[in-house]
Amino acid sequence: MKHAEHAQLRLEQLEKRFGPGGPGVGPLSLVLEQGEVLGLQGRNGAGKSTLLKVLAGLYRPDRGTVERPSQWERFTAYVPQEIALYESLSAWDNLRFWGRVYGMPSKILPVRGRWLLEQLDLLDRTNDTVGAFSGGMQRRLQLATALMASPQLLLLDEPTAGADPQSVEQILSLLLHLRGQGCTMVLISHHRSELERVCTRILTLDQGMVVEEQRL
Amino acid sequence: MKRFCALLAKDLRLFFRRSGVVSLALSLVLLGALALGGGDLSRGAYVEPFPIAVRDEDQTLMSASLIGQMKQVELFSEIIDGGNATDASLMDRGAAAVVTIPKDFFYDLYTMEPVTVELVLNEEMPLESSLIRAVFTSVMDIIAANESVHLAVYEFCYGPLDQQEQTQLWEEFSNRLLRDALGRQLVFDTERMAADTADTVQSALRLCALSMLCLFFPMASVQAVPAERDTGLLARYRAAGGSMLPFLLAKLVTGLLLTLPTLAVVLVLFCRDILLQALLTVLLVYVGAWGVLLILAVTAKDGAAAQRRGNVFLLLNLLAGGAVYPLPLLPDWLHGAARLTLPYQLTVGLETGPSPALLWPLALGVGGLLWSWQRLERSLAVDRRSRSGRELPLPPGRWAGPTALKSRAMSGGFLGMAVLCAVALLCGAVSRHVTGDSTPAALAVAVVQEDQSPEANDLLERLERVEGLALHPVERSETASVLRWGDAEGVLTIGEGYGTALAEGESLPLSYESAAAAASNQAAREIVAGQVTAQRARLRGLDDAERLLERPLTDEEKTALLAAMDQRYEDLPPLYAVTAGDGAAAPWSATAPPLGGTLLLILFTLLTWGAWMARPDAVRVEQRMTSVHGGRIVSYGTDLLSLWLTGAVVGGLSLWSLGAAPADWLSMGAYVLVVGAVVRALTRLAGVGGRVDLLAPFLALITSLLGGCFCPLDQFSPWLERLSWLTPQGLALQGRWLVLLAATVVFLWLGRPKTQ
Repeated sequence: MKHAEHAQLRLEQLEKRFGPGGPGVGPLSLVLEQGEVLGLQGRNGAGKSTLLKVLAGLYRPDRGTVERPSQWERFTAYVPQEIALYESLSAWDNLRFWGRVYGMPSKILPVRGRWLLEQLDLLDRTNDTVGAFSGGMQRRLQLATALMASPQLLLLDEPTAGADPQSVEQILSLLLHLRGQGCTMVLISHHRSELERVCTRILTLDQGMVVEEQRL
Repeated sequence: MKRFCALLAKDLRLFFRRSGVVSLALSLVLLGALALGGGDLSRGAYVEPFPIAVRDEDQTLMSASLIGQMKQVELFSEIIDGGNATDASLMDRGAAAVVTIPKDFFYDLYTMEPVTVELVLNEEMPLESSLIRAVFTSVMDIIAANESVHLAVYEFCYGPLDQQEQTQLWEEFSNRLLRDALGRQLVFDTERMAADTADTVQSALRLCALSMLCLFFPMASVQAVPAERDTGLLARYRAAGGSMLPFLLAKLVTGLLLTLPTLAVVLVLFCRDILLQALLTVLLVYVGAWGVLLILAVTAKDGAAAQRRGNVFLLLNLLAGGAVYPLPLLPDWLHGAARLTLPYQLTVGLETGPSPALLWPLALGVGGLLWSWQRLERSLAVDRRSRSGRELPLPPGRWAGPTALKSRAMSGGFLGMAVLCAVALLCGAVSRHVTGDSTPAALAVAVVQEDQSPEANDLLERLERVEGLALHPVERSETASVLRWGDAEGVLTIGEGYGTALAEGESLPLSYESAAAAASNQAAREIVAGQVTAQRARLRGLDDAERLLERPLTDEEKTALLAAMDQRYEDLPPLYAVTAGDGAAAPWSATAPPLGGTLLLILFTLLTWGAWMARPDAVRVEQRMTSVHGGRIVSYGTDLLSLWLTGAVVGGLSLWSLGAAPADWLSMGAYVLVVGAVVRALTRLAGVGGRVDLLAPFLALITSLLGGCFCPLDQFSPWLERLSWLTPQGLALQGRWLVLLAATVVFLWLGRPKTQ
């Protein structure tokens, strides 16, 4: 996996609010270095998912700017909190779908897909429909679909929510592997232990503002 | 009981949360659309009224009376005054024939001068020509019969006639001729004739409306079964002590309750005379539909698949069962399958009342209930299967691959696509047959002969000699079936005692029951009445002879006089001459546009299949795709491409089966574009988007009716024709491709994904 050197993600006075004085995030400024794994924690409604969605491009900020390297634009992968997979399609079909959406060459797609399924212990369920998967299996598959295009920036919204301990371990192991490869990540989790295991820096948010920062 | 009421309340709430109110409203809108846009398609199977031209060179009271009589014949849409125009120019104006009554025709007739009426037939309108020849021949037969009878009687009584006797003959003859000509329609009951026309239209509307009610609401009531099974709701219910039977019966009752409002309207409007009979028939057919749809739902993998199967089942029943295209218009090879459909059971029940035939839908209902019961019980005892499939090839590229995946997912797999293709081919084949050259080669009349007298046999022989008339002897028990399938346009019944009544001048036991609209009905009655009048004239001649001779005739004299009448009839110079000419073909379109069925199918399919895009998982995937570079466009674009691809395949197969013209292909293409854009926009409409598949039958049928898919647009009133422009079907049928393309752009913009 190739990553751009010395690339940075910059947020300048970023703000996104839903209604005057309503929930949201900001204003905040932040610099994320290439290869860094940033963890976000805070209680429900603190603005974690909103911040992530702004970084993913799902929300347009009301104020401020988001600057990222151009190569990160094409290779940003977002893993939402909800399962966003076609339940009536098989695991393999969902992988191929996302691989195509990310513009993966046809020759690489099957190799990459099978590797990811093997890493996440889903190889024997390749042709089964996603609707029949357990919650943990769906989480793993969702992560696999995001990794199809070897993203430069990976945004994960509670990737282990509702997953069984075995699935959690598999997901975290893969994230650690990615960190070792130099992948830049932003990760939301309610479990401090998970963040401490994977992240290089943890921000605590409250009412859309950073109230605590911890470097690991 | 409490538990049953709880189940009932649950099912009703589920229905109303899924655009149920809209469905109920649309069911009432459908009645209006049927009344406006249904027309009377049965006319396509039979003869339409046509104009003829008459050139009156005689200019007498007799000729004017004859022309006046012709204006009352409903087969003739217009009697054009020929004046000084040439035959060719009159036929170019659309006249099926030109009749020329020569100067002094009626006077020369009685003075035995050779005189002929000229009849020039338009060769471009073969059936119309044949029919006018038949009607004309009947009227001329009345004249010839009267003339020959009276000549024979007078010569029998007085020998060769001098001038005074000829004048006396003319005076008496002309009165008789007028009476016979005016009274020929008294052979039949004319009020019955008008009632037949109204009945035909009402029957068609009633059948379509009741078919939709009997198929749609049962489908809506069982659509939640797969979800209740797979989410564990059913297992939890059973674990709480609930029984499967009330669980399923609650759905039967739910559908019935939902059907009631619209059903009440239909019964009051269209079935007042047969209320109980109609109610019983509808209930039985409803139960049958519910049974089949329950089986389809229980075997479906999810609710969307259940809805898809139900919609296909509904569409097939409408197409093949006589609810959209009348039974007489369906191809012969479909008749067997048509008898199995639920609309056909409705037809039989409404026409003939409760009969053993209605046990079929009852058996379907009970069988469906029992089978589904045991199937659901078994499903509770096994773990949920993962339904493993095969890896299937996928086209390369960022657009082609996702488009292909979405197309396959919408169809429910290759089996779903195969079924869809088969339905498309069937639709095209049926449309081809229905809208093809279906006007019959002859006017088919079934005959029930209950009287075996010489007079009855003579009548049949006379009718068999009439050109353009085809007689089919049938038993009384076969008449309903004959009329239902269009094997004959009407049934002539020669009742017992016909011969005696004819001889004694009494009211004749003769009836004609029509299956079709008034035009051919009138023609058939004209033809029969003409022959009956000729028969009467002969018998009356015998009475005249006895009156003139002031004594009864012996049997030998009667035989000799009848023979003399026949000889006179044979010796008469021809009263008319028939020649063929060229002219315009029939200008009106008697049948629905060929493209109509295909347009209905495309909209029906895309609304049903397109609901997949409104599923929660599909919406979440779309939202996730906005995080990908260019993902928003790819998501929206591949949704549209998959809809357009599906529509193009369905439409293409249907048109190929139809043998469509190139212009129809262009119209279909533009139509698919706009419908795809509309469906995609609808799937994002709050409150409706997730249930477009449930609303598909009503939306597709209503817009198709108002768009002119089942009734030629030139038969619409001006305001209704303008209303059709608001439907994509109307625009496609009128070839307004640019408007369709512009509408596509509008709906693409309306349905575009928006950033928050």
